[in-house]
Amino acid sequence: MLAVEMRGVHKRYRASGDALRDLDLEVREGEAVALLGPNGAGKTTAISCLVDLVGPTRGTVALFGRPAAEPAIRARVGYLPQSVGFPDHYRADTLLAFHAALLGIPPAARAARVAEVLARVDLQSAARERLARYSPGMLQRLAFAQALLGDPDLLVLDEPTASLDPLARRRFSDILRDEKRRGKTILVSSHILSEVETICDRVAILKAGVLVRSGRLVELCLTGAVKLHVARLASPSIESLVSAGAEVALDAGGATVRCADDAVRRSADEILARHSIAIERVEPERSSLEEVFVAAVTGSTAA
Amino acid sequence: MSASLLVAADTLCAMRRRRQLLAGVLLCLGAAGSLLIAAARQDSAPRAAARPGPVRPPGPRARLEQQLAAKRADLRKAVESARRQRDYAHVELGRFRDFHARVLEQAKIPGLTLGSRPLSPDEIASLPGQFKADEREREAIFRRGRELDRDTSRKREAEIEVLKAERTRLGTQPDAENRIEEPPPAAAGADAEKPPLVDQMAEGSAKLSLTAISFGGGLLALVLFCSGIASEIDDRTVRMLLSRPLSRADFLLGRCLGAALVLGAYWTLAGATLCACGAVHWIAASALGYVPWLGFCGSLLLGTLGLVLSLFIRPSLAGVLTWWVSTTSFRWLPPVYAIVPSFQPFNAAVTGEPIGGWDTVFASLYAVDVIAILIGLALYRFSRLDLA
Repeated sequence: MLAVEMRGVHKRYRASGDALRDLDLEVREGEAVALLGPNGAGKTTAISCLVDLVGPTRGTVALFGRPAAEPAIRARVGYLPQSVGFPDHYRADTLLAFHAALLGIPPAARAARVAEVLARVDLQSAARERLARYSPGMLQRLAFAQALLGDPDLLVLDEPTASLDPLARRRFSDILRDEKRRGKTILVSSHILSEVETICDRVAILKAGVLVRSGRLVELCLTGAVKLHVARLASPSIESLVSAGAEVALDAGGATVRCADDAVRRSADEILARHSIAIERVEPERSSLEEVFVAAVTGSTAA
Repeated sequence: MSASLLVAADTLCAMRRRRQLLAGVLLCLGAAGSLLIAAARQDSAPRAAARPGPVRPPGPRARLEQQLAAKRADLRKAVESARRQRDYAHVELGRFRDFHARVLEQAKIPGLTLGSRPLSPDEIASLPGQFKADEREREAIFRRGRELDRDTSRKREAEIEVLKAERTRLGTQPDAENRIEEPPPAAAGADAEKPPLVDQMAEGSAKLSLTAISFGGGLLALVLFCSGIASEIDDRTVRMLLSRPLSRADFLLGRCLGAALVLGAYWTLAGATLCACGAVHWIAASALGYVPWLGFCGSLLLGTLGLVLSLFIRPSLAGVLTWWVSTTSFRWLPPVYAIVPSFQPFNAAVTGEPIGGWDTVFASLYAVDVIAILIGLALYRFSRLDLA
């Protein structure tokens, strides 16, 4: 079943023009998907459409098969906005108790649930402090705690680690991995690609409101080139391989033949067979997510 | 509905951080109370001066003296009125004759017109006769007025003579118990002048106190309805709440309910202040109950109008515009009331004008009607607002 389904979503702001252009996005239950894109690409608008903070100009948005505009469906969603805003007269525990009441958590279970999520984000010692005294990082952790409060099936996180220190960031990644293991769906927008690589299965890259690239992370990072590891290469075979378009690198343990595409690969296989050289290992060449991202948003091909 | 109640409770909790606002409205109530107490003191001051000792029922002679003083005052008024009438008649008749003379002078010039029509020779010839008749008629009216004043004066003089004779008769009999000190002429004059001035000052203070209470209510309504929700949208705290299973309508209605409860508490306190500080001197006891209720309705109307405007324009501008609308009468252009609510019934309550039960009922129905329309508009606008 699809946890998130956006079909032909178009959003036009009166002041700034088109933020999303016919966006189609699907997230299956249990998947962790990263929404990437440069600033102003429309990531926050897309996420805001999911929690009905912004209404699409046209197109449909559904969560677990129900329209996103239905308030009841948001009981299954935990949302962490990009800029966190809480009324500062609250204490962390009373604020979360209020949100728990809105979520319909029974009064008897509220205190325990609040204490549990505060402990998960390491805020239990500051639970009774006024939010006016909280640092931006603590507020971010509290916002994450309120997103986890209802044990949601879908976590929608917009730039969740922007104000977190490395320690809190690691804790945050651990919690997300836990949630993923428990079968929860995660949609996260982030500029920290290393973090995305460790958590997400799929990536969707937006540029100027258009989905320019999407797919499984492992597939997106494949460049299409392969490296053939061999034990030894003689001069005639090297000359033949280079003339066929392969790149040859000699090292202490043997040699590596890089074939940029299938045609080169076929020629290299023939040459190696002709010279009776055995291929020890075939390794598909991968680029980093950063390279994929840069290639997608600049329009060039990944290295 | 339960979500709305939760949001309303949250609004009440949020009042804790609005200490400056609470201090401001309590200051208004305090000022109103002080003004009312001052008004009550001003009102009682001259009477206290006139009654230095224990109050005793006046005897026959004292009553006679009081009647005599009242008749003399009436006589003075009648004489004064006759004098003014005579002076006025003299000046008016003079003007009238001058005007007639000028018209007759101009009638000699050929081509005299009446409006756009030239006067015929017959009409010009009949003018002196008409003017004379007019002058006679006016003289007769003035004469009748003078005679009426003269008759009144004569009647008062006759009554005074009767009272004097009665006093003379009483004077021959000892009536020490009922003897009252004759006030010196200057003091009597001051006593005759003082009460109206003091009354005016006291009434002014009482009205000012009602204005202070009304100002506090208006301020509270605008901050809660107009600035409260708009600032939540601006600082994005609303996004956290609306990402919960809470509809926008529930959120807005909850906030309005919370704000209405705060306003209700304020006007209850205002009513208690009015009763405790002696407003009953200035407002009929039966109407005193209506003032806080109508003030509450007016504040609620003001707040909901501010709320609607703040969802379309900047909250500060919406506040100023709402305040202006609430304090301006558009009687000169009644069609304005087709789109702008009238605050007249509620402003009348807090300016101390007499209010009846039916006035209150109609004003309440009007408030309910307009507030329902305004909240509908606010819901429509808020449901379509982008909160990104």
